[in-house]
Amino acid sequence: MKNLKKLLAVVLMVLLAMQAAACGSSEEKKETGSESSASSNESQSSETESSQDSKGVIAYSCYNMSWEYYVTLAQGVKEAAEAAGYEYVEHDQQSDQSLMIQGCTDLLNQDIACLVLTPCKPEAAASIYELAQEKGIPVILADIGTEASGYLACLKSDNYDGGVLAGNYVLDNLTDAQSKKAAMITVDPSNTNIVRSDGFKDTLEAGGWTIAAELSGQSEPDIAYSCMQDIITANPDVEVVFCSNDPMAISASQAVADAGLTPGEDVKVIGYDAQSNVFEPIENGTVLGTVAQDPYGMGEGAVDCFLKNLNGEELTFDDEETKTIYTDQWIIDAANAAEYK
Amino acid sequence: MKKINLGRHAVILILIVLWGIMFALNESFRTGANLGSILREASSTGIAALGMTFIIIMGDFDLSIGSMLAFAGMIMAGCMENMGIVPALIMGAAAGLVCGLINGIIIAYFRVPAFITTLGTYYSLRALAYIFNDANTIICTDTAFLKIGTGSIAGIPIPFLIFLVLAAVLAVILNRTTYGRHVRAMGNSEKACRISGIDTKKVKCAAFVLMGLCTAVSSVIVTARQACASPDVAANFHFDAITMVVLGGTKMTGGEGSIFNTVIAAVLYASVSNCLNLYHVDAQWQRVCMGLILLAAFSFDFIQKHFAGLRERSQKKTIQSI
Repeated sequence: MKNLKKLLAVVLMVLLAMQAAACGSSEEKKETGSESSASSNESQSSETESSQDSKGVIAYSCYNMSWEYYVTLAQGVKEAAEAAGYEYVEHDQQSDQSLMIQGCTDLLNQDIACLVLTPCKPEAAASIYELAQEKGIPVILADIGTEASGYLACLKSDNYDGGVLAGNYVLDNLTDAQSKKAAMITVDPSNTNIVRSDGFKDTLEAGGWTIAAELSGQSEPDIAYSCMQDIITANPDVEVVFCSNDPMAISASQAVADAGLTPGEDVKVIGYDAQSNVFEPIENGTVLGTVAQDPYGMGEGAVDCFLKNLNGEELTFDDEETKTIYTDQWIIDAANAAEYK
Repeated sequence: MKKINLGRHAVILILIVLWGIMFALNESFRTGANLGSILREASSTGIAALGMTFIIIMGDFDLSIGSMLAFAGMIMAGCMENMGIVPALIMGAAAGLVCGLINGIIIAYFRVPAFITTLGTYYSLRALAYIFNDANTIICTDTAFLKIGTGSIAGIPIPFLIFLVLAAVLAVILNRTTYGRHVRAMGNSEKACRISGIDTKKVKCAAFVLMGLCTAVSSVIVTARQACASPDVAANFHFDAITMVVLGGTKMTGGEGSIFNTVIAAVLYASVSNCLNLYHVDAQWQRVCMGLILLAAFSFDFIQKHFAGLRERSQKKTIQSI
């Protein structure tokens, strides 16, 4: 009982101290003029100064910050935001749609200037737009679009077009192919990036190739590894494998090697995203090439859209209806890998 | 003097302290919108935590609720397109009930440990959720349904109202009915219960059915809030729910626990993640933080007992020296 009272007393004292500190430093801008307020006055003036420097906060809510691709995108948002005099904060959805909604709601409730969003589950983003519109905060999508409307603009790669790029690369470079059999290891079937493999498939089929297998690696390298094993077992004469992201491509190439074949000669693997760890396999030939996207440009472009909109400038879209702006894509192979490394 | 058990009230004390500090320090925290969003976040997992409180008091636990939530959500959203809201809600509830019943029957009547059973259903229900609509998300557009997740009555979020009502009902069941007494007795000694003539199998089975129903209600709220049902939703759901229950002082060994404390713990859990978000704490550090909270909740009881033991010993010594 005594202990409980002691604990309560400590708790209350901490509370009071916190409250006193808060009164000294934050919103009470009309000063009370007590002797002890000199120091808190100082901290207050420095705080208001810094808040004058910053025009507001640009927040980036990210699909998953453990993926290098999004770290680069975040870098683009951050540098553009800071260059324009805004403060930058970021939030990590960790691929969880509940965290996405919760985190974005928390950001919007802090009255930020703009929310740049890469939704891990595009279908679940509608309630975020609703809240943002209520608060008058513009939302700009980066990398992944949504069906619901309510965002200012959407900057992304044309995933289908990227698949077509990879397909044309195969048609142009592998002219001596014999079996003309290709396989694909795709992302999670619910993922919108699945159109990457569609682009690849359509291009190759138009070029006289057959798609012997299409398995879902669910974006995970270890699943892609076992998919690749299955593909080789079922179709030993497969010549090209398209993987919807680089980690899957690297592990697929490993699976080829482990099966006793030579990656790059017997089976050629193409990736997507141009992550930094894919450059070495490309240079030593175990991965044929990768489709590079421009995540930094997406982040930078998102902030640029916000600023243009703020100044009342008209935004130009590649697709009016979905307010989409397509960013650049290109093929990286052994010939130009050193350039982008 | 009546002994006050500090452990039993620790969670509400921590919540008061946290809210006090955040009210004082953070302008964004004290806005109505933010507080509303905390309560909203607390509700969806909190409702499942209510059912989990029963299970854990009984000395078991359920790992399958995340998958169950996804599965019930898919069934519900799938039915909504063709049948309208009310039948869809009934189908969702039925899905939860059946899943709970399956768990309950396997555990109670086939005597498979809850850990194994619910691990099995954890995998199979998740897979069924994927199979149901070829792994595609089902979008819900009915505004009346979406209101369940996003609406408020008199400033209080609807999910939280549902949470409170359910908590009240379940608290009455746990504390005032024979069934509740049986559940608590089972946690202390299942053998003793069986010998004294309680139908332990039925009690256990019913608790898992209750868990299934609670999960179905959570599923309604999550689906309505996200405006869609997807098979990969709520991956860490069981972990969050169990954390809430333990945070609320319910003993993992069974026999003791309180619905009220689970409600407070749910709000506390949501508040902590809200605070970490408000200060833009890195996601990995957020996990570290949540892990530490769980450890603290586990060890609190132990620390308290340890100190009580020390005090007793020192009192004995003073008596001896006199």
